[in-house]
Amino acid sequence: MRRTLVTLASLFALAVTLVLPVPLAAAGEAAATGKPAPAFTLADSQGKPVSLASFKGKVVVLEWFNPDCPFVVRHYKAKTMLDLAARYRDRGVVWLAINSSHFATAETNSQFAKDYAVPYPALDDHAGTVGQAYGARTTPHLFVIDKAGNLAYQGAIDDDPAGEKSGEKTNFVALALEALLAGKPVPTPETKPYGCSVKYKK
Amino acid sequence: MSRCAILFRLVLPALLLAAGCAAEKPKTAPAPVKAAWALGPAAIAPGSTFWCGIELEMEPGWHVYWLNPGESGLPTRLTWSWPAGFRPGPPRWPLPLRFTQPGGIEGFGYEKELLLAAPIEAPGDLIPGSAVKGRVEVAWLACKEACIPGKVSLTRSFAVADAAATMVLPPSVQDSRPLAAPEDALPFQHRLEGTLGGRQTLVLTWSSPAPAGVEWFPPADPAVSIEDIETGSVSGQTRIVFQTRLLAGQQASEHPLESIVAWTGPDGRRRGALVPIHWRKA
Repeated sequence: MRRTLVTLASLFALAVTLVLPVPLAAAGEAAATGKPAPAFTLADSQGKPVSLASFKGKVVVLEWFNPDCPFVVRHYKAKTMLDLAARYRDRGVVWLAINSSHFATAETNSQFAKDYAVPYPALDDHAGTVGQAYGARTTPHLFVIDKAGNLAYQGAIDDDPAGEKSGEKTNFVALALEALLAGKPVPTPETKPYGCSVKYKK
Repeated sequence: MSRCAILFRLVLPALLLAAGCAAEKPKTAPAPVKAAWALGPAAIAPGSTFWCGIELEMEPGWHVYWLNPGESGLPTRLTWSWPAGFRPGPPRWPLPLRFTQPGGIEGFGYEKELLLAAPIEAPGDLIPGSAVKGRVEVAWLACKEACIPGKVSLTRSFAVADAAATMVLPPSVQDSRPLAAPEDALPFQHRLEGTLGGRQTLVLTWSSPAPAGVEWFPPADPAVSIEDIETGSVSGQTRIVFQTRLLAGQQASEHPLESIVAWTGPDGRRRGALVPIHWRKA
């Protein structure tokens, strides 16, 4: 009985999908690894538009952030993202930080950039549409896009959610970047992200 | 919007900029969670197993997280330090709540209060008349609109006695705790259909008509994504259907993982039971 209901529901969903034009940023529909990364244009903290399309042919890292989130603060104090971005900048990797908090403004993002001397763009997505298109759930939540524009990694920055690991940490983004730059497949293309929930508008 | 941001937008004198706002960041708001060692034995007998319970009290609107925090957050953690020979067991989690955060981000946890009790086995060679000291580090992530991590270390001394009364959990703890087979009789039999990577169904066959308000709190497996949970009951059977996906390049747990089935009893009270989930590979 239940199965029948479920089947009918999925048939209905399929019918709706076939009939209606699907918006690029369908709510809750996560971008899939190996598939094209959703296009976007967002304003940086100076109000200048930044388009993903302008980095065609380059490896791009997207990092969801929120300056008020303790996980983000911990990683910025430890320079996790800053060091990683600096290490791969010379090898042509583009780093973009995106704030999908409903309270994000150019001012909060520029203050964040100033507080931590962030050299890469901090983009304003306070409407949350780009966050939803990618299925960003947490801050931090990281996405790596390969040179062909496909999503090559999504998930956590590392394997230490509580920030209490004493031994060696695995940085999944570094692993993905090394593999992509060497032309090899990404060993761990997806992990579960950890952190604060992205503070989408209600 | 933070006070800082409002100042920034409305007032904006250059003086206030970096220094003023940055200095205001460590918020003076009271800690949203208080933790206390709330439960322990009057005395410890050599070779006995006793319960220790840590209570977290949350300010209104704040929550902390269950073993599986859901799509964001962090589980609440207890790290025990006892003298050599003591063996602390995993905590017994009370029935969690499900909350959906803006953007449809699902979380599992506790509001108002959480009493995390753990069984602790004492070594047989304790000397009656002596005293032992236990220590626990309690760590949590509390979230409302913002999130604030917290950590506290608590200690307690216990006398060692020849014999101690068998420690039973107080009714308030017992009632909020999910039933666990084999020590508790479950009101249903359960089986897991399907294999990892596909659509799976947890089938509950109730010993009486299926109760109202059945919900499932899925296990925490960092390698497995569990989505589209749908629950439906027909007469004496509940089917919990969900989509599983093994994350590429990862290994699913080889061991059974803790999940909880919750329901509303005929008396209107919310009850629950532990249902171990053991993945079967395709």
